[in-house]
Amino acid sequence: MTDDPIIETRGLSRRYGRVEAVRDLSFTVERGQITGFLGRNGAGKSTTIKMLLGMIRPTAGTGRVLGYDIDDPVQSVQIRRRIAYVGEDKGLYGYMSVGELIRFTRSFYPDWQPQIEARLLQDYQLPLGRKVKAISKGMRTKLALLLALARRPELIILDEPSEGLDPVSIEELLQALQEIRAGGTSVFFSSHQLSEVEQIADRVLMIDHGRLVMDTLLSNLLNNYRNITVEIAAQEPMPAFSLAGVERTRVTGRQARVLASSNVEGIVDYARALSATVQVTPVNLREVFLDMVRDTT
Amino acid sequence: MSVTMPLLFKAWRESSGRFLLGAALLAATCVLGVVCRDGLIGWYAPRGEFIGDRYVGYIYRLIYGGPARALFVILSMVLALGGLQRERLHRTVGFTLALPVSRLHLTLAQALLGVGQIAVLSVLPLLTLMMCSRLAHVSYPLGQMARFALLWFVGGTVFFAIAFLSAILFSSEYAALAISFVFSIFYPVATLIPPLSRYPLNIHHIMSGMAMPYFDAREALLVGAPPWMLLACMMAVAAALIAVAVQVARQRDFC
Repeated sequence: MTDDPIIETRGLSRRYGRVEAVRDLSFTVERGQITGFLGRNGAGKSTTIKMLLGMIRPTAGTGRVLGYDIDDPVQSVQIRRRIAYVGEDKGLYGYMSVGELIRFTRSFYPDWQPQIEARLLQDYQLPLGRKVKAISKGMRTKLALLLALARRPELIILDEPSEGLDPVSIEELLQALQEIRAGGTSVFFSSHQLSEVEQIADRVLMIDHGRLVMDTLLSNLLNNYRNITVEIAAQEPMPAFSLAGVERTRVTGRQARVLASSNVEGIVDYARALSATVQVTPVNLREVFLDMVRDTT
Repeated sequence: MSVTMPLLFKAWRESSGRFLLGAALLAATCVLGVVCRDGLIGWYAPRGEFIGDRYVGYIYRLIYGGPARALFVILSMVLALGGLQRERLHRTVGFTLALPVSRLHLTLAQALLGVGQIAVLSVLPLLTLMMCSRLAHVSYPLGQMARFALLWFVGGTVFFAIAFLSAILFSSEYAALAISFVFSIFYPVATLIPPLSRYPLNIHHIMSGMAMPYFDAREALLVGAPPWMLLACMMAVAAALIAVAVQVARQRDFC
């Protein structure tokens, strides 16, 4: 296993007519981590994932998965041979039975692991003889996971994996993803469910309006990010807060809420020098996300 | 490991319902044609219209030059529907495109299976007529059936290729089918316009032999050698249309 990033994009962009779904996206995903790809609906998460898988061609920029160029059809097949993908709607062939779909998928992967297939079949209690269209969405997610994991991929990409699942199924899914990572597979999953990302992700990429707005370790975010609420006296003008460590500033009347990723003490000293009332509070992922994706002042 | 067999299996599972239903309809038309010949022969082959065996003229009018051939043309186009555009609508395209196979393989497997199904449908009248005619103590020349099967196969492949391309160009398969139908109905009109009228361009006529030098309309029999050059040209046209469809599928984004 190398230390090269498992996913790397540089200026990746996708335009649909006049709409820029993804804009100048540059990020790297390290091996062995669970990376949460956060964003609102329509932020560009699925478009990015589909570009990584070769389903959509980028209009600009480059991307590499496992060192292979995503825009080269031949290399894209190599990518798909070594990674697994579970789509948002878990679209599987409804006309096949569970057993047929497993046999069909197995035939594309010479390194298919029958023992993993057998274990997951037992764990997930999948009905082999039933048509895929007749099983529940939770079961379909489990089947999609089985098809993804039995080939022992180096990377699994999941697009909104918990969409449409009940709480119990979501919990099982998150647990499965942690087990996958423990087994050496890197996980890259998109979500707009902040609690899921906070529960299992090592790293967070945040995208909004097609642009990357945050790329950080979750532990770094929880340990170092702070909300600084600054209340300025009536006679003082509102300062710009153009300081190191300031990620976002939101001004409401005489109050400014500053999201700081570092240099908290420096920002506090600056505010106090303006005779302002300052309050520092820790943040969670939800607050950071809302701060990042709301229009900033 | 070859991926062709699983892709053919997938294409078969997607189209088997349409194929089996179409085959049953075509076979039923042939069987009913033989069984109900006494009631229908006066309608399809009036006395004195054909010289020689009247049953031969009747089978030609009902099967090889009549409603069964029209049914076969429709089936050829219906079999071409599906593929990645339909998968997009059914939300399975993500799973399919995540498989480690090229789009070339995916689309060619579908085309290959479709052409195979057309080959089976084109010999189906031969098989059913041979069995039914024997049971009904009537006969239709085996050589004629084999030659019509060849003409049907080639003509059907061209109609299949037209619908196959339409199914990749248009996101709605109903639109693709409608456009293919409109083409199959109105394009023969274009072949009547000079200078096109000088050439054998009407696929319906090529399949039925109507107004073709290799068909004797009075006896309702194919005569002389099969039009090999014409058939080769038609297969080349079908291959070109399928190649264009594959190229479009390779370039297209599937969201």
